[in-house]
Amino acid sequence: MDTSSVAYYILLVIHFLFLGYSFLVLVCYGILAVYSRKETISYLRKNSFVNYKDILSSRLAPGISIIAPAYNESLNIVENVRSLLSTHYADYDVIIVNDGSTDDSLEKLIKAYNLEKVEYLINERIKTKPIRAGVFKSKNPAFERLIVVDKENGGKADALNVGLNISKNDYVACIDVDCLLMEDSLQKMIKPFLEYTDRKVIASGGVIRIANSCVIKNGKLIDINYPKVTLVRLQILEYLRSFLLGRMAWSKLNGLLVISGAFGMFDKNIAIKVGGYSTETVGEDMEIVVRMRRYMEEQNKKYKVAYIPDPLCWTEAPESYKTFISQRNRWTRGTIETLKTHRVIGFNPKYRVLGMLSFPYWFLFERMAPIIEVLGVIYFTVLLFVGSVHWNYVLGFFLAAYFSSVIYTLLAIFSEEFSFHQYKKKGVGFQLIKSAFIEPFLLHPVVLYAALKGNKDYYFNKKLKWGKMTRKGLSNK
Amino acid sequence: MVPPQFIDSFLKDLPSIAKIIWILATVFFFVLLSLVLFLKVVRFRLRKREAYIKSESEKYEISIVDYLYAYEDNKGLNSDQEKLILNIKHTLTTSINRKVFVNTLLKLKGEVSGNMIDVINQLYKKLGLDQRALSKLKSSKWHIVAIGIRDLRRFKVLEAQNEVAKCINHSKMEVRRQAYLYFINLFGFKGLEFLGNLKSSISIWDRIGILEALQGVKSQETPDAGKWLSSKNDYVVLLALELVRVYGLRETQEELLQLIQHENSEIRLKTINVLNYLYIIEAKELLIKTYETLTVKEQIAVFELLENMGAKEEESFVLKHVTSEVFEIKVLALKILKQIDAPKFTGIKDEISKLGNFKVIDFLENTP
Repeated sequence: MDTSSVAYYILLVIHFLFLGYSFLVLVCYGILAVYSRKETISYLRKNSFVNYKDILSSRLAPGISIIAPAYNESLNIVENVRSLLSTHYADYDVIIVNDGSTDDSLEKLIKAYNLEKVEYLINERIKTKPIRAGVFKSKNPAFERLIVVDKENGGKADALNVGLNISKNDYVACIDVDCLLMEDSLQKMIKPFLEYTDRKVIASGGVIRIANSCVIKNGKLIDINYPKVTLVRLQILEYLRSFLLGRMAWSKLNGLLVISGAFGMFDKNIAIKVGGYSTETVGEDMEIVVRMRRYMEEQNKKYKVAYIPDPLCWTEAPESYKTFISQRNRWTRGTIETLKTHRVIGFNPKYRVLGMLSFPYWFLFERMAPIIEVLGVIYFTVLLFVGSVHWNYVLGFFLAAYFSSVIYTLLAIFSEEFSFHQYKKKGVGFQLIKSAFIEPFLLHPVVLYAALKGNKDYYFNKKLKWGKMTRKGLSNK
Repeated sequence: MVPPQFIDSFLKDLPSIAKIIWILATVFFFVLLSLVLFLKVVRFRLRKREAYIKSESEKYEISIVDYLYAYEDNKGLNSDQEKLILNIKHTLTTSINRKVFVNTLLKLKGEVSGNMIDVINQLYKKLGLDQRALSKLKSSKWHIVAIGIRDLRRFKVLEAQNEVAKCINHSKMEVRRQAYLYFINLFGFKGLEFLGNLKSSISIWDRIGILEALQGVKSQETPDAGKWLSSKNDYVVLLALELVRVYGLRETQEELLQLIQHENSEIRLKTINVLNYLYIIEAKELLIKTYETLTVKEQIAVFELLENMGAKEEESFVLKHVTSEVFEIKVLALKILKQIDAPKFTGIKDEISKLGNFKVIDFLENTP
């Protein structure tokens, strides 16, 4: 066999590898769409019989601590806390962990809520940075649910761990302080924990919706609008795909690996048993879920990570490409770190669905996807140079990939329309469709770039931690 | 339009893998096109449906209010009412109309009181909707069965009890839950008799629903929960313990004390909490005796009980645990010691502080 034949066969193998990978992606997404549909129907049916009012007045309702870390959030901290305090639930407290802010967040809170320093005995089950100014509670009984802890800066994970140490309740809802929670969010999130008798629910995750352009007054969502900024519009589609198709399907398979850091509820004892949030990663939200699942698997205990598709938590999405890239860069690094830390799980039958399905999926289609895509581009460039591009094939492949990606997005929009139908206004349907068609050209390349940057930073810029997230604040709109 | 000969020659010249790709792309294109059109239709229909529900609901509301106004005490249906029933019946041929009508009935039921509620329940039956709900119980789909039971409960159809009783051990928890609520809402404390036949589980969520439903029972009596404390179904025991706590059934003391040695730790823990809540002092001795066999959670509950009703007699037991490795037990033990024997607490506090418990002692000294 001469050199050119060898080169030909090598190219052919590479060619089929890329084709096989693309086909696998297509099949997986198809399967996820089917599972997600089943799970959505099942959830909506079950939910139609639920009377959430019962838990509002019941003495049996377990206590929940909302833990919200805050770092230099002076601009909106007072309004954000007010919004958290207006949640409808029988027994909850709000723990604001001021993570060494250098602005006047604490002073503003003290003034707005009439806080005073109190004696508070903390069982330091998880090692954290020390308390700075102390623990504060309000002198005003109207704010008796509020606890403010001022500590030295240690990052989001460390602040959440302080919240875990301080909480006296069995369940904790960890949220971003600038998120807007719906009034019934705690009732809905706690339900799975109380409902299963044959397994332990260790965590439940909620859907995160994008609140840019929505009308918010006094910490309440008044009107839902489809944003004008293209980047935000495209992120809405991304979120719909991820939360209503992907995670819904993984929930059906009990294979959820991630619960959004913006809003998730945990069984506090299990979270503490596994050591709380890891301060060694920028993807602490995914890492803790994987660690909790790993613990349960190793203990051979039946468990579930539940998922609530209702729009319970609204957040502000980045409006500038710079912030967006920084956010996605962090997500990529978080994924790499978590998968690397828990690599023993991957393809390990001992961990059942977690080891044989969730982990391989995340590795192949989340961790490796940007790398494979770039390799594909390089391969294509090589073919261009050697002049062996079959344009008929290229065009067909491009169209098939493009159409399938838009179809998947449209399925997510369908799921939204048939379930929660949040974007009701006339004309939004057309905008959603238009966004679905342009997303692969306008958003995907940026996501790819951010993921590659995340890879580069992970390997060559270890010191990089959280990027800076510039926010306008929801309550200012 | 692309000529067929062109497509034919185009496909002929392609390698088979490229052909597959093109076929896929074409299929995807048509799927995409249909989805776009379908999405438009769906959004249009959803809006239309919403408007239809609103207008129908308003129409039904007027008819129902007219029916209620035409009602006369202790008299049968008058001609106006009969006419209204006939008119409504004609419109109830579609499931969406029935759904809208039932929801409107429920809405009005929440707004009226006394006699009028019974009149609404009667109207439901006169329209034959109770029979429709009853027929749903035979469905093979669980959510249809649950809807049936729910409607029978909401409109107080007592005659369905034998059929609903068959669903008490249904495989779907949503159906079981509706069945429990049916019995409680319609028969009050007597409805709890279903617990005797219950073989399946009752989740905490179910317990919350059951207790809240019982709160609505207008009766001066209290449920006879004692007999379920010895049930073989652990979930029934857990519910009974809740009943004992909520209704303050101190007369079940003997049964409660026996439950301290139950093999299910969840039951033991709940029992200790109930004993604490009911302030049953006799439990202290037994709990101290069995303390070492309990789980950590139960041991903490024992100390919480002693915090509430501890006395000098427990001092030696408490002293043994002031250096416990379990933080909660250590804090509670020291707190109880401070309560029952302050000089003793003062005497040992320096020693305890030296063992790395400075913050605990400091906290206990600075809080009442």
